[in-house]
Amino acid sequence: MSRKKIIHALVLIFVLAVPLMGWAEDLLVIVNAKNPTAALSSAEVRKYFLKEQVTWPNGEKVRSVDRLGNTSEKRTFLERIVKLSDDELEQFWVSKRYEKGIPVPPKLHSDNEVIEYVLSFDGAIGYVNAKSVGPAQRSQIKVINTIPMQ
Amino acid sequence: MFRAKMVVTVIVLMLLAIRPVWAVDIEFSAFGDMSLAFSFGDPADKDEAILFEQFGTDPNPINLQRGFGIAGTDFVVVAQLTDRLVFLSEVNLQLERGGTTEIGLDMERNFLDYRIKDWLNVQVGSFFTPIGFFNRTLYSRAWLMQSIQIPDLFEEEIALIPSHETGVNFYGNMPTVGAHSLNYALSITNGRGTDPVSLIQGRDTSNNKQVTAMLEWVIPGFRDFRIGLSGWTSKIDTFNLATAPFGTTADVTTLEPLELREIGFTPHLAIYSKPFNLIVEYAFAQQKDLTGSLGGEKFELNGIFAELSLNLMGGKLHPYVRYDATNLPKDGGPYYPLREEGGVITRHFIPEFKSVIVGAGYDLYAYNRIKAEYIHHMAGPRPEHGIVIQTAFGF
Repeated sequence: MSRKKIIHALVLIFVLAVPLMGWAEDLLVIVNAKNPTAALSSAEVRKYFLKEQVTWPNGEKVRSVDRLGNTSEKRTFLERIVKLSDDELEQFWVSKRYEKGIPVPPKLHSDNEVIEYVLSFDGAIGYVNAKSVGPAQRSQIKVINTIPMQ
Repeated sequence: MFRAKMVVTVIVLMLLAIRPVWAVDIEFSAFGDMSLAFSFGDPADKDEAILFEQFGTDPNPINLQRGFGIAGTDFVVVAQLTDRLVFLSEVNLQLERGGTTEIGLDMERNFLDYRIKDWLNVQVGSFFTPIGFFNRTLYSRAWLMQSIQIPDLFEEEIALIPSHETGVNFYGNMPTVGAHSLNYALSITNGRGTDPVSLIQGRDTSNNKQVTAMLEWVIPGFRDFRIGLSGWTSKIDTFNLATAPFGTTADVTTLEPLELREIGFTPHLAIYSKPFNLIVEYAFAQQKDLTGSLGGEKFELNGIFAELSLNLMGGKLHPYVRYDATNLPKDGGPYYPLREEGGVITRHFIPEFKSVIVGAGYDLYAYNRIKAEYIHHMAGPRPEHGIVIQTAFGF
């Protein structure tokens, strides 16, 4: 067997083994633990994140939080849930603020900052990589939707 | 004096844009555009061109651009006073007609918005009349629009429909089946003034109030999919110059009062999806003589706006085709041709509008769109052909 074939075989084994090794990643849509909502469909997540619905069923104001930069988490969330490109989302927020005076969500640098934000506001909704959520944080946040990462 | 006021306004807006740590959350937006336009060919309607030149509201039809032009810049301030209370103010700095350096200052909107529940919000102040789709969401912000020309049907300076109003507006969104929902709005406002372009904002001398209602079905599965119907009714107190020739000018103290009952409705459809966008809107308005001076006659307006655009190259390129038309009552009816200034009313000639537009927009950046379009006028005083290039921004 040539060296090239061996390398190809090793790469193939590595790729196939990744899911078995538990490295497959999920994107979690999270809210504060005090939020009474148990689960949301993708369409409902979109509605809350884009503030088409501006209050939660308990009357709490919806505070969506976004990520800065072109991360894989953001790409997955925009493609699977929001169904807008990054530029289109920017345009959406400007027109939303113009039409209804709805504030543009903050954009944070990391998953940890998003988790901190969700812990700080009862009405917050954001998305993070499952790997970023530690055992201690699991009890303080609620996962309302899970999306396999691309 | 006026320039001083404008400078003060701009300074206040700039100060508002600064966000000290102790202040409420304040966000600042602006919209503007610059265009280059060419018009050529004979007037679409030569008779209307002659009438417009003699008796129009302006030497050039509104929206006719020649050469380089800046339409103006909008400044929007949004202050989150509390979790539920929002203040929004929008002022427009625009060039006066004639295209000189004379700048006009126009208050577009100024309201407090109290958000009680998703299904119940209250706006108090001056706002866009909640009718149709274009007037509420696009209005005349070039960057938000796919095409360039502001449709005559929604042009504030022609005011065929009441685009702005001052009063109270209840609105909200009610969930129905699944992710479907209904948007509604119900407003009670001062309504129209003596002439169509004068909005009663400060002091209403009559007890007439305009009532506007809008119901809109929001269909999930798209970026935005709405089907709606809206309508309005009001009494208009004006003066009778209906049978006078165009160009007649008279002091209001010498004119017979005229009371009109205006009713109007606008069905609309708006679809925004990944591959395409479609906006179709129709408007009907009727003004009925209540005083009997015009034999109780009814005067009717019809207008349509339809625009189809595609989203290509990852949503950056937007080729579009558009058709819009207005069909006015005979000689413009008793109200649309009137313009009042300082207690003197003039009866102008208001032209009709019919055009087909093809063009394309390209998003250079998230906040900047360049556009080019060809417009073919089929009615009215404008030259038959026009080409416009525009760069528009918003942030």
